Amino acid sequence: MDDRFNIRVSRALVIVATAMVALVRVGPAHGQGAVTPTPDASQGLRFDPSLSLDPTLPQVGAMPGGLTPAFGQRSLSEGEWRFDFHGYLLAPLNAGINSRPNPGFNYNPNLPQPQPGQSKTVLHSPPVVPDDLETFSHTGVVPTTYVQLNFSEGNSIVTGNVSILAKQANVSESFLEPADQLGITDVFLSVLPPLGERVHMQALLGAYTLRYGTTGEYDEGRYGTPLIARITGVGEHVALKTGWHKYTFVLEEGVHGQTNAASSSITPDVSNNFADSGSGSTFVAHVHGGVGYSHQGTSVMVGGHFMRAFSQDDRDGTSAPDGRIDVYAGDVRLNLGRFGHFYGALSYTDALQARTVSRIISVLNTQGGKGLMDNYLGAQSGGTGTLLTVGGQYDLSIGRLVSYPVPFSGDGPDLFVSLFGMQTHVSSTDKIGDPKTGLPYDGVTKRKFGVEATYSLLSWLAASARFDRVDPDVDDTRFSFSVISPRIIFHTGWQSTDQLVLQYSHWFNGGLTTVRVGDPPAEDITVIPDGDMLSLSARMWW
Amino acid sequence: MPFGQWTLRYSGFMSASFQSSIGQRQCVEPGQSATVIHVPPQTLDEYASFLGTNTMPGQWVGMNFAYGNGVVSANVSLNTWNPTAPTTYYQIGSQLFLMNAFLEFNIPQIGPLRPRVLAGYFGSYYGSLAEYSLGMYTNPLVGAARGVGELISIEYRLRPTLTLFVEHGIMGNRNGNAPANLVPTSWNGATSPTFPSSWIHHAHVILRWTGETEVRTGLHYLYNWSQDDRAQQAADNLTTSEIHEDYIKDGSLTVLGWDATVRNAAWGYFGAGASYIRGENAFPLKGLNTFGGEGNNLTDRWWGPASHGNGKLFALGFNYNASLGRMLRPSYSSDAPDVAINAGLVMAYTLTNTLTAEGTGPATGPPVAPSPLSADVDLFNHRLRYKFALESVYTFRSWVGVALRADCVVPNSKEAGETFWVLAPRLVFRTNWVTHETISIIYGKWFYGPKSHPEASSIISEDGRLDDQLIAFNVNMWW
Repeated sequence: MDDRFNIRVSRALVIVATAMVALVRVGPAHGQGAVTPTPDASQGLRFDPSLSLDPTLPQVGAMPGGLTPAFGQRSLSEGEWRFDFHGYLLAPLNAGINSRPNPGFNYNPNLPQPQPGQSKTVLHSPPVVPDDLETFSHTGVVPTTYVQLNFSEGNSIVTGNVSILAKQANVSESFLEPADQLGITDVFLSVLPPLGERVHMQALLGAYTLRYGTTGEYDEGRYGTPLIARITGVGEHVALKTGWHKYTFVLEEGVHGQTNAASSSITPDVSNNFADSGSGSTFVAHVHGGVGYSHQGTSVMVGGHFMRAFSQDDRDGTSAPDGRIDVYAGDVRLNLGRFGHFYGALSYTDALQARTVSRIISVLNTQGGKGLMDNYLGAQSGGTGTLLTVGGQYDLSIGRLVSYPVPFSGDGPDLFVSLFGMQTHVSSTDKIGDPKTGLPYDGVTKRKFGVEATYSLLSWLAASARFDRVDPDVDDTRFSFSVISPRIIFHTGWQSTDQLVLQYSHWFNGGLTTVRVGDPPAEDITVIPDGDMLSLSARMWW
Repeated sequence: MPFGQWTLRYSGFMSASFQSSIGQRQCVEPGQSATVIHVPPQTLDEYASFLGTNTMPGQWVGMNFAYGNGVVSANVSLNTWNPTAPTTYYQIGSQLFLMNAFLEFNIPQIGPLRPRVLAGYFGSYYGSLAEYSLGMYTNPLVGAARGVGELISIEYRLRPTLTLFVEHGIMGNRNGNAPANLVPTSWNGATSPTFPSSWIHHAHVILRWTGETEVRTGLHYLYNWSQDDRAQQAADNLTTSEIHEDYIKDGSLTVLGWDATVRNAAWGYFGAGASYIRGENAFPLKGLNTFGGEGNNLTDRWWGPASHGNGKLFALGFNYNASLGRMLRPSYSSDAPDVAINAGLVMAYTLTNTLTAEGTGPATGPPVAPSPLSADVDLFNHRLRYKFALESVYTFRSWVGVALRADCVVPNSKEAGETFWVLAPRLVFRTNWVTHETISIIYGKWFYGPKSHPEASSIISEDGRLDDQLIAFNVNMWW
């Protein structure tokens, strides 16, 4: 069923896209600039070309359409101390739609379902769908609450940055989840010493998050999953850039640690975000190199990455061996001017006895060594195994393409197309597999891909559709599922910084498609996932 | 803030530290390294304890927002002592969120009087020995009143160079009395229903001479008390020796303090102060942070749990900051190499009247009335504690300097084996001679005595080992 459906959907998307291209071609002439704001090196904290994502950018997936938030502006003078405030908010109303009875939830099997006074159709919030952030099944189709406020004060050389973050808004909570109010989260200095025209240096010092392998040009991409790793800690990161003719050379290094560690007396629960006393003090050392080439408005950046997260702590259990996670990766980023943006990465994660490695490192959105075991390597692996991940994303503005050589600034009708996908092959010493779902750990190949198209009809209206296909095990399509998500997007202007998105999503689930329920979330094979979802989400950035 | 114009003002401070202490594993198994690295550090450097030296700056962020005009402003601050980004689990209570919220009124001058009023949630600190901080050590020498209430300050110019300040405030502690069925846990900051609502009344008289040398001296009176019947419980908790829950007496803390500072452009800044603290059943009192802490800290760390919060504490200290550049060159303007010197000393002496428990005595004999503990048993009475530090910072380029700090801590005059030293060299980077930030790489070495031990924390491992080396990387900025 799934293959035939995919072919039908693919053909339909091609037809729709072709029609939209035709509509773009008859659109009015457009203004200056590009669809995606391309800040220069003096703006914000960006340091283009860069191998990592700016720490002040939200830790969320790409927004529907081709919109990319641009945040803040750095002071241009050493003598001018400037206060800057910017941020991002995403507030969704999501309702998953399902029907009774659902064998995954409590009911009396001796009574007919539904009982009097109960509707057959049930509404779930949050939706019961396979979209848990830590799993490979995560697509980012379901918007989740996220608010980030960035405050900065500084001059052209040094800036102090503080961010406040929340992943729930108290007004809409049915119970208090303290860990979702992260409060003051990032605290760091950004230093840009004046080293002359030939060398550009940026040092980030303090507590913040670094992301490598982000598929979007200025965001985490459609999946909101860095293909290489995410490092969240306190430490230093230095990026050096220099140029020669049309070539640019980038070198980055960093060392990071953590500020607390859960003791064995702590009971893991929702109040402490399920503290893990089995992980020890962990540190990450990482180095990156890149070579870029630019020509007539296009550029290519090829990068190489190495990270080592390690723990050697005797407080996480006297018998626990020292653990480590090594990540080797290479990536390429193409800014093709009117032909769009492409990013691709190949990443190899080598974990050795990684159970004691803490959440300071996140590979494919998992939390440290334990998260890697829970989601990829298996409980019997002891944290030893490898992941080989390849993925990428291609974004294209048809409006910009067809209006060439007239510059297109996004102030007119446009069709924005995005293609994205990733695949991970797992090798693990756990030969048993997941006892709950039967999904194997060792030798499994996971794959997902998708396409999104957004047609901006009017200054206040756009139509969008996204299709996702996920295969948690390419050899067993019973675990696979597909999602199709048509959307209507309202905004207050062609280049406004707000969105109101009305979205419907339908999941085509396989026979063994599993979801995570409970707190902490755990797979439950008995739960029948919601097949449909309605979502109304509001976003704004400034 | 300008008169008549409503404006937003943002100021703050941040300090973020990467710290880890280094130790050796006692039993090395295959796959384990002999050297172990600990976060958080496992050294004897407890915050707010007398054992703390402030050698290693920790985490702190304060974001202060004020909106108002020249007469009135609304002030709100957001604070944390552990930003979430580098944490590996959610440490509840570390995010203080909205910590202060108060109005400040700068009332237009009334004749020779210039009044200023604070009202709301805030703290006021007395006994700061340095120009912009408390000094080399973190405890206020006189005290800090924290809570909700008011503070009225009136400035009266006696002569062109002599100004009198009179301050008076009344505050209540923020939490009041916790509900009777509240179980103290980490969720609620281990708040116990046996803590009554407490109140603070404080008054201060300060004189300031201005001129080439500015001298400021003040006398302080702070009184913290409770009279609340809700804290008393039906039965005594035998595990808490500091208090009889079934008979909670009204408690009080009285602080009399003096401080003086001298500031001279060439010779630097000198501060000295002293305080006398007397507690009566003070264990459950909250809101007044004395040199020895609040009532429970004074009881557990200074007078002993058996004192029930009864005792006296005498504290004195001095602090001195100077710049050799300013001393030697009157034209020095801070944009040239310099050697800064910081020195500080604090000492404290305790008197308690700890009694033996009622009925103590031979099992076969009649009950013995409570009597003072003998001197060899009473660890707290007549105990002298002191610590001192010397620090020198040599800034030889606009962007880099070197510093060395040495501390000696004598926690117990009755046990010389508890004495320890700390030596901490560091490299200090900045973006200009005069700027708003520093970036430091610090190495710390602790030289413990044979009986050095933590005072009131669980920083050491289960086998009681302490690490004696620490590496830290700190960035801080103020604006």
